[in-house]
Amino acid sequence: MTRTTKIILSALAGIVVIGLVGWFFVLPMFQPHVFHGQVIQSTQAAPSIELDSADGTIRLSDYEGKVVVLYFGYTFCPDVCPITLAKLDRALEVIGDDAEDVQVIMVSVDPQRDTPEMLKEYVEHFNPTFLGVTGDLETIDRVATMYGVYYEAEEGSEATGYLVNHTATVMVIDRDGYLKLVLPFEGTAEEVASDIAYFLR
Amino acid sequence: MLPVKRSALIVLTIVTVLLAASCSSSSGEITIDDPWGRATPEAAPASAFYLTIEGGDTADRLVSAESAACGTIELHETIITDGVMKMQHLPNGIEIPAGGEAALEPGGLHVMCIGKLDDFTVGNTIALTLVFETAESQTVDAEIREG
Amino acid sequence: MNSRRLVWWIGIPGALLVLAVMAFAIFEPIQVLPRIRLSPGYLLTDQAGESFTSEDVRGDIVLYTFRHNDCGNDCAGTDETMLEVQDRLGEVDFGDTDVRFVTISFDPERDTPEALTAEAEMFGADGDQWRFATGRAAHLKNVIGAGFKVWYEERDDGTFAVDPTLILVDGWGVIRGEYEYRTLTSDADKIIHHLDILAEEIRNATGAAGLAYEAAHFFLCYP
Repeated sequence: MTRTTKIILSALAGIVVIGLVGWFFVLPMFQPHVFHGQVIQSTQAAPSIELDSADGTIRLSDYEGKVVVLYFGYTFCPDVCPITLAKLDRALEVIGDDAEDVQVIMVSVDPQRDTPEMLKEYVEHFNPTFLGVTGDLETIDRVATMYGVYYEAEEGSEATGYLVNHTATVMVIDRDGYLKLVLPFEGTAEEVASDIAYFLR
Repeated sequence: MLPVKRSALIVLTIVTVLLAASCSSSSGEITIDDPWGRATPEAAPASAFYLTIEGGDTADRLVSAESAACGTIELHETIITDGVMKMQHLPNGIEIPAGGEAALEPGGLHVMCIGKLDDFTVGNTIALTLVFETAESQTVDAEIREG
Repeated sequence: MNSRRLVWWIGIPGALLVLAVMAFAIFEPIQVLPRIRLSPGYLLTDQAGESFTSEDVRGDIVLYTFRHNDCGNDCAGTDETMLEVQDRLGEVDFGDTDVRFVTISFDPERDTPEALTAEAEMFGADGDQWRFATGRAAHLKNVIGAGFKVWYEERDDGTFAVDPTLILVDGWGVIRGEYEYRTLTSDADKIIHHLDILAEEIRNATGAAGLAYEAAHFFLCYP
C-alpha cells in the first residue's frame, strides 16, 4: 500500500467511526425526547397518597418501581372521564409488554357518591389493571389540592343531582416516586404512550 | 321546427322539475348519521350517546331525547377550558342550522343517559328517539361501542 | 502516524463536544428558575364574593402572598414587596403573558368579602390584577400549608402566627420561586430579576430554543 492509500483508508475509517459514534451516541443527545405534556422536574417527591380501593388501602409508595399514571375523575362523568380512561388503555396497548410496569390510578373527585366498589367496576371496564380509589372528603381535598387539581361540585338537574367540574389532566410519576409530567386532556393515545414509555426506559 | 321546439321545452321542464325534486328531497328533512352509545359498566350511573344531525331546509333545534334504556336523558356539552372539564346542561337544546350540521362528539355535545343504563354492552343496539322543536321526532338505533 | 491521525479524527470533535457541554454547564448561557413542585389547586372566594380558582389564573404568572386582616407587622414585609414589584413591572418584557397578584387570607371568619374589599382598597388593588381571596378553613390548610408549604397557625387567643412568604407560580401551574421574608432588605429586586428570567423562558418555550431551555433545566442553571 502506498502512503496515500494508507492516509485515505485511515481517513475513511475515521469518518466511519465518527459517523457511528455520532449516530448512536451524539445525535440522541441533541434530539432529546420531546414531551407532549408539561415537564415537572421537581426535586421533591410526589405528594403522598393514602386512599381506599375495593381491595384495601393503597399508598403511592406501594408502587415504587412502577410508573404511576394518576387521573382525577368520577363515575358520574359520562364524557371526559371515559375518553381519558379509554385513551390510557390504548396507550398501554401501544407501549406493549413494558406496560406491566405502569399502574393507572383514578382518584375520585366525588367521594360522596363514588364507593371503592363502584370505582373498581368502573375502571376495570376500561382495563383490568386500573385502580380506582376514594377517601373521606378531607383526604380527597388534600390529595387533589396538592396535585394541583381544582374540583367543584356544581348543581345539576333533578336527575344528575350535581356534576363535578375538575381539572382533567393526567399526571405521570416515575419509578422513584417523583412527579415528572402533567399531560393535557387533548393529547392522543400515541403521544401519551410515548411520554409514559420515556419513563420506562 | 315546431315539434323540436316543443320537445326541447318538455325536456327542459322535466329536467327542471327533477332538479327541484332532487334538491328538496336531499335537504328537506333532518337526517341522523352514525348514532352510537358508549359501552358502560353497570356500576356507572351515566353514559352518553353521540351522533351527527344534518340540518333541513329550515333551522331547528334538538330539544330532548328519549330511550327506554335510560332513567333520564339530558342534553349536555363538555367544555374544556385550560385543562378544566366542565359539563353544562343544555335545557334549551342544541341548535341545528339550516343546511348545516350539529355534531355530537366525544369531548363536546352529547346526549347524557342517567340511571337504569339497560344493557350498554358492546354490540347491543339501543333505540333512541330524538325530539325536535319543529320537525317530527325520529327514532334511531344507536350501536353500543367502546370509546 | 496513522493511529495518531485516527486519534485526532475522533478526539478533536469529541473533545469539542465535551467542552461545549461543560461550557454550557459552567457559564450557564441560559438561566432558568427551578421547577420546585406543582402549585396547589384551589377553590376560593374573592373580595367580590365570586368564586376564584387556580384555573382562573392558568396561563398567567402569579405572585402569591398570605396574610390575614389583622396581620400588622407580621406581613409588612411581604405587603411592601408586593407593592414594589407591582410598581416595577414595567422593567420586564412579559410579551403576551399576564402577571397577576393573589393574596390569600387564612382567616375566613374575619376576612369576609367586605373585609377583603377594604384590604384591597387599602393596597390600591384594582381587584382584577390583584385579587384577595379566602375559603373554607380546612381547604385553606391544604392549599396554603400543604400546597404552598407556608406555615401559619391560629393561636389560642384567635390571632394568627405566619411565616411571611411570597410564592411565584408560572402559567403551567408550577411553583418557580419561594421567598421567605427573613431579612430587612426587600425581596423585590430578586423577584423582578426572577420575573425577567421566567418571562424569557416563556418567550422561548417552543422549538429549538425550548430544547436549549430544557437543557438549562437539566444542567441546573439556576440563579
